[in-house]
Amino acid sequence: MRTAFLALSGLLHRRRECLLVVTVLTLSFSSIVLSLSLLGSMSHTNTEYRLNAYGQWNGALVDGKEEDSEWLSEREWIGEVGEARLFGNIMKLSDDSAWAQNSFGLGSVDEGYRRLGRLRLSEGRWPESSDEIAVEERVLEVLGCEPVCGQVIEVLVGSNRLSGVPEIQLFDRFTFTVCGVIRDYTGLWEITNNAMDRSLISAVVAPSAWDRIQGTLLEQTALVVDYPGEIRIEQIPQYLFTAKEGSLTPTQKNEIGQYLASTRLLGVEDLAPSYNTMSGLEPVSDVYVPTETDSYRVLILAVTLLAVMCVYILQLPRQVHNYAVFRGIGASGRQLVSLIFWEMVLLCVPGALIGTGAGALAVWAVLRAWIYSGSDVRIQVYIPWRDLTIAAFFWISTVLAARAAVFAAAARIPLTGRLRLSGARSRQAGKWRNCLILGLGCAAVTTAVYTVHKGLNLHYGIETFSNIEDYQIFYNTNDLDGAFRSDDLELLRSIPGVEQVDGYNIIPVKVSLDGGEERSVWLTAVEEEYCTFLPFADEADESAFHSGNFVFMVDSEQEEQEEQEAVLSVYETYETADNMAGGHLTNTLLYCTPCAVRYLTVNMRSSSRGVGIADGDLICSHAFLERLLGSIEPGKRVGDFMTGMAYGIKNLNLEFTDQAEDLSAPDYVAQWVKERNSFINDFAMSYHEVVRGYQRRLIMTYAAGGCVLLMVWLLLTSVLSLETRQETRRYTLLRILGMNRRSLQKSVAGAALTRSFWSALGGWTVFLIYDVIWTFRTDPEGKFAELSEYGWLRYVWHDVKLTFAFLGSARCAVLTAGCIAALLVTILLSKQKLLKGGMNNVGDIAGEGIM
Amino acid sequence: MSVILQARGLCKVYRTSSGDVRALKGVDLDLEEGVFCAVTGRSGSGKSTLLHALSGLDRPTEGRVTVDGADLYSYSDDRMAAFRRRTMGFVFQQYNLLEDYNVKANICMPLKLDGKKPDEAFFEEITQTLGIQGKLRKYPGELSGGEQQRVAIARCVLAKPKLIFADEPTGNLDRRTGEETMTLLTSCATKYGQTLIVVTHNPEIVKMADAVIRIEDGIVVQGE
Repeated sequence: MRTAFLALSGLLHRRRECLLVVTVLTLSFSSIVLSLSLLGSMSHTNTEYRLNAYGQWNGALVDGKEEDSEWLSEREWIGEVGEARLFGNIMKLSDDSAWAQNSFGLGSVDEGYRRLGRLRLSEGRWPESSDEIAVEERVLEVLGCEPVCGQVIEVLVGSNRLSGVPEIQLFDRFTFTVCGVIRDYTGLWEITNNAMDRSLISAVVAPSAWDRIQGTLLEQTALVVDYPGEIRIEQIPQYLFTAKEGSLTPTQKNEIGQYLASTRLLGVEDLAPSYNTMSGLEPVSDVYVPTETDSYRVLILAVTLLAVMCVYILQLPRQVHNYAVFRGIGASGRQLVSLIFWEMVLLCVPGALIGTGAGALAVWAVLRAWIYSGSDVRIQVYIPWRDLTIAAFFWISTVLAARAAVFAAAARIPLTGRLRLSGARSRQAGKWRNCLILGLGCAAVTTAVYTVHKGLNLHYGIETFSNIEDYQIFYNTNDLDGAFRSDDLELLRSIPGVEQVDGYNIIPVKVSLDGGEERSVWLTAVEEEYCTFLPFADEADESAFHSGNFVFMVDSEQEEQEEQEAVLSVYETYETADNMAGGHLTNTLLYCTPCAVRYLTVNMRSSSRGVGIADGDLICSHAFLERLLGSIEPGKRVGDFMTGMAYGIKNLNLEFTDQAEDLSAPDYVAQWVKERNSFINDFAMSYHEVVRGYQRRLIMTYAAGGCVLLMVWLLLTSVLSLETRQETRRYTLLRILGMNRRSLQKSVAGAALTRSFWSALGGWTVFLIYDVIWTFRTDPEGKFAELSEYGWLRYVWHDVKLTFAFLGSARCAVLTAGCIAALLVTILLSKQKLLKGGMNNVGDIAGEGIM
Repeated sequence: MSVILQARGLCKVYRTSSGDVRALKGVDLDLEEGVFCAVTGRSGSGKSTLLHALSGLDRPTEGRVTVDGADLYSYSDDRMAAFRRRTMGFVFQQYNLLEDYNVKANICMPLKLDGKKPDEAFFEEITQTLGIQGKLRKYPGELSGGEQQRVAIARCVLAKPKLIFADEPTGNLDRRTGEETMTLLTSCATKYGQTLIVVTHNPEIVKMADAVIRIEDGIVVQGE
């Protein structure tokens, strides 16, 4: 421990250098933490997001009994239990389909129920007195109320859970003050496998409200029911519970089933308890780590090694002197190793701790600001300690290797003389220092260019794949009379995880432009919200399109042209019986109509969620298609339509959010489609994963790039400040010998500009060499095969031109100028002392050794 | 008085690009306990090389050095280091203080490395004698050359070594400071019965010495 204190007191005196080392180590460690925990954190946050939506309970007894509570408490495998009391249902007398399908429960909930169900208020608080109520947003909407607190609402509450009086529904009006607005949750439980046969509590009141409700209902009952016995209204208990192991096993589910069978008189199907299929899914902690992420870690470790090496090389003169003096006054090798060990511990431990904290914070910030921006989900930062320990081991080994290398150099210094490096070595070190500065400048420029280039590439990837729809749904083609209704679309839109639902229809037509030849194309009718990519001149123009006054023809090759007149022909396509061939398709002309056509020169696939639209196809509004179909005699089949029937949506494009899968939205949508005998095309699995992969790589690119840039900058400023100390004596002597301040400043600024320029040039060269090698290796355009024809130089030139074209000349110029400016400012700031041109510091560096 | 330091057949050869340089050519030496010995000679004559070889800082190419009868170069590196911090003290021309530690830490360093605590009274006495008691919290970089050399002397004396080696201790100091420093060094050595071996060009210091070793071209030409 003596050496620990010695190390500490030594480090405390070298605060500035130690701060640099700790900063480099912190940055390095935080980058490692970021790369390790990003994927796990995303997975855990997704789980949190899912549980927030569906609740964290594993099972529920919705049609509960009083004795259930005791049974549940006796089960060892059951964890927490939450209880609610259903007092009755909110009713509405008007004929409204929403009320026919759903009934909204009114009752009280305990703390456990709120926690397990993740019931949250978007506004206000939970009710405390008997005249207060907290209501779900959707219920308020159905009641025609705004989702705000403080308003007084009147609801009709009914109950049919009467003892002794079967099949009688009691109801009366009650007035409550809205004290809280509950985030919608009951709908989620009803539309998935978690469907329940009892009303869930959509309106929460205080337990004390029961007396008021019961009393009033009984009073009203006495007026309308002539019943000799005692009439009693019962509360219905509802229980939510969790399994201690995180999910219910088949045996446990069986035990619940047996219990219900022995205590209920209903059929087996009715006895099934509700299970929350969304709660038992474990977060994926051992996520697949792509090779690229490993590459980033290796890069970070390599940069750490270099950075730590550089920092210690900067300290080499001092270290050499110190070690030699220690040895001279009798420190043994073991003591010196111990001293170095403690120095390393004292630098690495804070670096690791701060790095872990900073990395975790960075993960949180990235998820909050990027992946889950706009969402109120609580970000879960998951740190994989096992992986982190392994990474830390390599990290410490890296630091140790750097330290050992410096120690080995110091140990070779003889204990005689000035205990510093000799003049020849000092000059050699000076040359190395120049190379180091230039190398660091190049590294900074290469990193900046690489980060921008790679980032741009990934941004384009995200944009391209994000523009492809996740799912296409086609209405049952055998059911020509039917179509998706508007409430179908609304329901799909209400599913958590569904971001956008676009309805469209498509029929085959023939088009003849200005009396030219007829071409077979597809006519696609799109929804208003889907038309953001269409080039309307103004609102009137857009309105004209939606009214069906003109259509667009897609032609990415075509120059923009004036509107053209065209003739649109609709044919009936059907299969005829053919004994020889087993049937063939034939067309019968049904209807011709003139229409105005405009060219659409954009690339559909990259600018919108394509609906299979290719060059030559037509895009119209629903009004246009509806009118077109309406003009044809009834009973004819046109595409998926039967003329004369009500117009509706036949095809849907669905766009999902990033969290859709964790919310099981695809499962629900698939089930929904299956129930309607429709068909679904799934692009989500592949493209969504690609987009998320791009996002992860983008985060890693920016994080690694930023981290490397920061480390390089720190090193550069340190080397420069050391160089300044060395140059002070030379420039001061020159000043004494007659150099004026302006000449000195010009000399320093000129050298700085030259260095910046060469660094930029070197940085670009390194990047382009890397790019050429990378392109050569991956050979995306088969250029390798053409090498014999073109030759190396032409191949390299071709690749360089492609790279510059991808980045764009303006971006390249700004990037280069920015790099030169940043380097220039860094160098000049480090040389401030020189620029002042003082003459009183000749002796400042007397005795300074090397570098 | 008994012989504390004995050298036999000491040779030191430096290999350079222009050929081997023989810095010591078979030096024999006996030094008694408690004497003040000056080693003098022209620049490049081998004085410092002799001092380094005698003190174990630089292994001779040939020959043997014994301290109190023990062969110095038979020790392992760690044992040699321990022997050095317990038996020897050094004062260098360049002071060679640890720049990261303050004056007090520098003075106490050899004792700390040995796991011992300094004798507070002795520490007070030395720092008072050397006139650095007000500088204990300062760092070497904040001191003048003379002050740094006094700190080096205090560091050397505090561990009460039997042998003190000083390599041109006044070479970087002005005359008056140099004289003061030498007076302090010799008085300390005399007071605590230490053997003092000083390499110097200074005739004044040579005059003060009990014994003088004059060396020329790696050979002892005069020993008193």
